[in-house]
Amino acid sequence: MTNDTNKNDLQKILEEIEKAGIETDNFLAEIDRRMAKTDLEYAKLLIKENIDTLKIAKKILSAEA
Amino acid sequence: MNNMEQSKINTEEIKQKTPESQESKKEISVESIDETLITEEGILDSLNKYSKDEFFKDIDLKNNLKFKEVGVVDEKFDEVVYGKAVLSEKILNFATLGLAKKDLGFIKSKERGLLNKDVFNKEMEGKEIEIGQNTEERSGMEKIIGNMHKELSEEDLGGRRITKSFEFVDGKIIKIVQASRTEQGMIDAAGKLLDEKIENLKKGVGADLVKEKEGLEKHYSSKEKIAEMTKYLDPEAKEEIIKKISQEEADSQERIKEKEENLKSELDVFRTPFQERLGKTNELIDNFSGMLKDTKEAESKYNSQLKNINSMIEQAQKSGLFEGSKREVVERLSSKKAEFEEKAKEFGVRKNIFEAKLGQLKNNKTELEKVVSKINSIGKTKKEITEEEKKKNEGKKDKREDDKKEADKPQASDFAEDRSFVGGKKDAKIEPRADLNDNAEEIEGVNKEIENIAKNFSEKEIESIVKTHLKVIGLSKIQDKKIQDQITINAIGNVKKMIAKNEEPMTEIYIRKETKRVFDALSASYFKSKKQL
Repeated sequence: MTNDTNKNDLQKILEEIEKAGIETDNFLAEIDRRMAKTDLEYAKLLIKENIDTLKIAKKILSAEA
Repeated sequence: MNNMEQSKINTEEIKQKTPESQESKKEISVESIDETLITEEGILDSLNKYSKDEFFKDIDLKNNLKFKEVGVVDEKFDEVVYGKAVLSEKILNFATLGLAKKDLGFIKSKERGLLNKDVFNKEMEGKEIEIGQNTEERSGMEKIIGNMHKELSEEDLGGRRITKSFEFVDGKIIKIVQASRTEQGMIDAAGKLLDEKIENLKKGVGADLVKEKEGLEKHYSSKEKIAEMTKYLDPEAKEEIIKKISQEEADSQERIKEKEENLKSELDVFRTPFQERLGKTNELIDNFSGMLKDTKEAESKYNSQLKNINSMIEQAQKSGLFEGSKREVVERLSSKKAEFEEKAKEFGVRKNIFEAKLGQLKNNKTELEKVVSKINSIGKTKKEITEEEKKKNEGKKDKREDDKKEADKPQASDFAEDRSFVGGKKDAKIEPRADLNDNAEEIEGVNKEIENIAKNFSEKEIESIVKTHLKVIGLSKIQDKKIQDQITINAIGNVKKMIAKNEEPMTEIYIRKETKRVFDALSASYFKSKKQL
């Protein structure tokens, strides 16, 4: 009886640990998705920066020409 | 069905039950990435094409420097331009044992054998060869171009694409060298142009406006003395002077208005994109900060679970179980522990990425703020700038105070319970938290404290520390005496419980920390209801 109880307890503990591990995996996957999304925004910002710079340069040079 | 099989099935169930963020999956689906990529590529394509065909149709930002060199073909680097020696020439070279190569106009190449310098390799006609970076030929060429175009900066020159090509005219080989800006070089050059333009506006239109404003300010300050100055004049003359003053004032005000409008329209060309970029940078900083915070919190929770596994292993080892069962428990838990420890590294990897990106973005932000501030200060007098700074600082001060108030408010999340694996039971009361890992600095500070003043506190000492700290963190803000007492009792009870559980000497900072946690948790609803009122 005691042995069975211990085994059940252990089983429960292992399940809890397993669950915590899966939750962590999910968290990491989710944070990676968020990271990818923000990285994409960052890349867009950099491209936009170049476009803006060139557009302004064009304005300056056109006005001076 | 054995235990392991059962565990596997449960794992599958958990996987199915664990909610995944459908929202973010939708936002970052492969389709949306593809779509964004197409858009991005479109932007880049149009950027490249547009910059070539439209932006710089009449303007040569590419600044292709082209020059021809007649008869200065470099033997060492340009041997590809010479034609191969014919058989009779080879025999002649052989007959002179190769000693008359120079006199005969021959050179020996590694790959193409004997070459005749008087013969042009027709395959090379008009073919452009890029002179790669970091070569002897490149540095030599940069020196030549640098001497010819002293206006070029080292950076500009180094970033150019330098090519050579050859033509054969009237029996002579002509070498054509070209040095043009690359796409990136064009963007860099455009960036410099903006800086120059901003500087020019500051020194030109801006300085002119400042002068006009300062003149008007001086005039106003002297105007008060006009009565004194004109007291010996007859009323008609006085009236005429006053009329003239008014007219001059109006003219000056009109000029200022006009100059301000002109300057604004010129500055807005720069200001708007810079401000947009600043806004977007702030947004990205918020996103990465949020991810860093979430990762730290998840890591802290995870570490506390790891601690729990450790403590279970210890408990099992000390238990009176039969050796066989004990070994099984310890082995299984140890294996889980190893898995946990391995996974714990993942948090560190992500934290490093977020911190690096935040560092980069914060630097960008500082640069952008400098530029925006410079643009905003153009055409403003020292007095105006000082007043704006003052207002800005007041705004910041108010924000800091608001932030402080917000930070002092108890956070419901502070009361989030930890998972306790031991027996799967959860105490309805507040369980002492094992994790105090709010941030790295704090851990370091806490560790130092532990080293220095860890001790066994008496009950009286604990009560005294808790009560004092409750006063410090604002227990008196709670006007309900019953809640005050409840918090005090709970805080003392939890600290004692925490000390008993740890079985090791404790530090005062731990006690204070636990006190604050209990205070935050139990006062949250009180403050919330107060706020709603």
